[in-house]
Amino acid sequence: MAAETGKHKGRRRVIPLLTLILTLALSTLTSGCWNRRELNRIGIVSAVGLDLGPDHKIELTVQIIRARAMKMAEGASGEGKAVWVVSSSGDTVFDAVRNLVEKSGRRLYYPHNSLIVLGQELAREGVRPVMDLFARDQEMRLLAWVVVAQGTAADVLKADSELNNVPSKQLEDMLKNYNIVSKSVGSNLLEFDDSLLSKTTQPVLGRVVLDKVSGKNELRLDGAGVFRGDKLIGWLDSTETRGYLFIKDKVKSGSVLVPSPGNPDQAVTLEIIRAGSRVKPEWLGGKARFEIDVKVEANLVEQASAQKLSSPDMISVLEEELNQAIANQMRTTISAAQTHYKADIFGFGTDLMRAYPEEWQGLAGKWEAEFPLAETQVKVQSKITHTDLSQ
Amino acid sequence: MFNSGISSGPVSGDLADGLQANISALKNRFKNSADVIYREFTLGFASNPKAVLIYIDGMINQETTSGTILKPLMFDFDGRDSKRSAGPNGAGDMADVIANRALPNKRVQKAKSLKDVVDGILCGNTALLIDGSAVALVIETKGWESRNVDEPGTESIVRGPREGFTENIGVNSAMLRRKIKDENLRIESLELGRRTKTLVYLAYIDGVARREMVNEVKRRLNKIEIDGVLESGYIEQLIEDAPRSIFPTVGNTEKPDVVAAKLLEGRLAIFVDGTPFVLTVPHLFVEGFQSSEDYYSRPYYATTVRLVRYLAFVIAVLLPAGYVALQSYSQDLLPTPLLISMVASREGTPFPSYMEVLIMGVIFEIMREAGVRMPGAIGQAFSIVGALVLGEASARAGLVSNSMIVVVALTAISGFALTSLADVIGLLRLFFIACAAPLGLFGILMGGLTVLIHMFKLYSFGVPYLLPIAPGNLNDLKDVFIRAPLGSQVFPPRILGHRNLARTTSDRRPPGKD
Repeated sequence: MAAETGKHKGRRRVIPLLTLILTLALSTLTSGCWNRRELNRIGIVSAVGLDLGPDHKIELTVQIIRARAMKMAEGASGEGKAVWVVSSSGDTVFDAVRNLVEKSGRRLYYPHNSLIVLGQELAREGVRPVMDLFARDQEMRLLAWVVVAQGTAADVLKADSELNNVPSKQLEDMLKNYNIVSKSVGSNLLEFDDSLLSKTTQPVLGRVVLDKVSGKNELRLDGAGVFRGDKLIGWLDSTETRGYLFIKDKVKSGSVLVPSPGNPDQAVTLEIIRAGSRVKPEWLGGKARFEIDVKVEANLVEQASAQKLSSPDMISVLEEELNQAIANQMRTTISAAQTHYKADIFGFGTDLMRAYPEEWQGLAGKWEAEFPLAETQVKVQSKITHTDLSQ
Repeated sequence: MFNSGISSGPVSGDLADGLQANISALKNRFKNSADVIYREFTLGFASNPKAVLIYIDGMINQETTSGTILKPLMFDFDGRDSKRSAGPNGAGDMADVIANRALPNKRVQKAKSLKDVVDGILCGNTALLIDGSAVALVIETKGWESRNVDEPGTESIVRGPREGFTENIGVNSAMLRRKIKDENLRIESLELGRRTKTLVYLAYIDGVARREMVNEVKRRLNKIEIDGVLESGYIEQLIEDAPRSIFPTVGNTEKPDVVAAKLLEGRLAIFVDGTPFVLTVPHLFVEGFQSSEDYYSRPYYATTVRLVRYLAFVIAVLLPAGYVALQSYSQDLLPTPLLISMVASREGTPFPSYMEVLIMGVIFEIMREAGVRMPGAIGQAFSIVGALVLGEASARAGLVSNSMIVVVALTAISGFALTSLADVIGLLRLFFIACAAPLGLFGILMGGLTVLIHMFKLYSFGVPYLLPIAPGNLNDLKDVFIRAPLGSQVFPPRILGHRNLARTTSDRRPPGKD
């Protein structure tokens, strides 16, 4: 009798354990879980392009990574492209995204998207309607780069890359390192959304240019597109962009050419090592004034003439020329922004608001009209630290 | 039960005076046992009574029996004092005389009951029965073939003593005595197993091990009721705190230096005759990460190696589950280039990733098991096939992805780094895969919490299993994730030993820097 009850007790203890094991095993083996996506059932999107299609529809072009081709490339053959560029159209971006599945079959996976290209036509029409999804959807990354294409975004995504088997990665690298050359702007979705939402600062995006070189399309990051509100209104060339970057304190490196002292035909190349800038806003009796202080450290890296430039006198002459050159670049940009585009791309309004919050109250509504009238003063202090080995 | 020597059960019949009666009684007990030898002879003194030696062939040392029992009794002993003692009890006292004067063996016991004689014979002793005497002598003559002291197979080391325990409990306890020459080292004996009558020693250092703990271990050992104890694992499973947990709360080792170290920390050791594996209690989780070598090498490297072991544990337990979760749910957490190469290797494989993990895991377990059990002669063929199957071929054939093979291999290697935790690791790994397959990283998190809660609930002989991590103790943590220099480990771990016993008082400052 005692053994009998003991047995029952034992069985009662075994049942929960069995239940646990069964639950785990069944849920492992039979779950078609709601958000499980096996890697070979999704298409990884590496870049997105947006264009304006006929009938004001939105043309969405995506670069999907072709895993098969990547696997081939690991072997020897390397046949086939590593990405598949495919387009669809829809009334909204999400509509187009869903329509893409008609062509791809697989669910497209956006978290690894690192590039959003906006076609010029679309950008001129206004980008706010198309950017909403990218800020809202939890699959989209805010760290994706945003650029504006001089032509269509689809062409940019179709261009080849020689270094990377995923072409968008090359553009991504260009954008990552834009401040080594400092002739274009790299801004990510977060920064772009930020300036889109700003009441005073106007967005600036890097410009992608497509060059036809011996039958192949080559991408080049050059200059920048200026927006007013969410509409593209014009371009900054590479010099103007450099000036813009100096004012925004985004220059890291880059080369500046100055005439050789005594031989104005021949150039001396200076490489910027370090640069820093500060904008000091002032509100003087109804007039805004901005003082821009730039400090630059540079190296002499190349000279065409045979002159000895390493003497302190020469160096100070070169420093003065560098000051002038950089100040001129900035002045050009400022005048373009003030007179041509009438768009506060520098964020001067924000600087002013922070320094004079009370005065800003009256100014907030009419800053757009006030900005072109603002006075600016540019000061550059440069220092040439090395002339390298050459005498 | 804790007296030394052989336990005396209920008396089941005393010996008779007559030799033939006793012999037939014994023969009745050992029915059909060809290995029980009855050597009848005549004593070479007194009134030359008949006598018989009874022993089991192979369990006694033949030289001892013939040289120290037969020879003196038949030829050498002249029977002095034997007449004087022929009093009322007559030959009963003859046994005394023989024990005292004729037999130079290390232990001779008088037995009056048949059961004592039978037990003695079964232990490998020789029983001497003399005609006309109701008292038998059980003479210690144990001596059977046993393995030499050898390097233990399960715990290899680079630096440190290479000797390991043997199957002989006497040799084993002597090895411990040689390490700890302290009169307070107690080795208490008892016999467990109704039929196997296995000798078990309980060793501890009096004054270092806590008294309550010694009593508790004794209590649990005495409660054991089982027909046979063939290995210390039987005892381990019968005295552990949480028999249904996957975590071991009783430790085991093959190395005398490890046992000595544990005793010095206030633990207890249980030796079981017939196995080189000695149990140590209480056993804490962190002991699985400690190796005797940690204390023999210098602290910096020992600390590094110990941290590597913790890392290996995490990899061995969580890597396959994490891989499944990242592959099937959280691809957005991977760096893009890694994701691309993983996609490339996953492309064209037929199964979802958790199935891949399970398949490869099962194949690996089969290979491991086969590798342990198979005869050495086919080892080479086996390893070639195994390497091919588990490695290149399965990926080439498109059955599993390349990255999966890397994951399985890394997991296996990490598991090997912690041999003492191997079974726990294997089970936890499966558990976490089962959590990750339906729920991804969230499942791993919930599974991890479940395991942790379970571990917090565990005790080993009154000591929290996760000590000294939880409940935390800064002093004891000096020997958990790091191995602090010996000079700073002044106190043995809390709870286990007495607080006020300094283990070392040596000055750790460099010489000449006062």
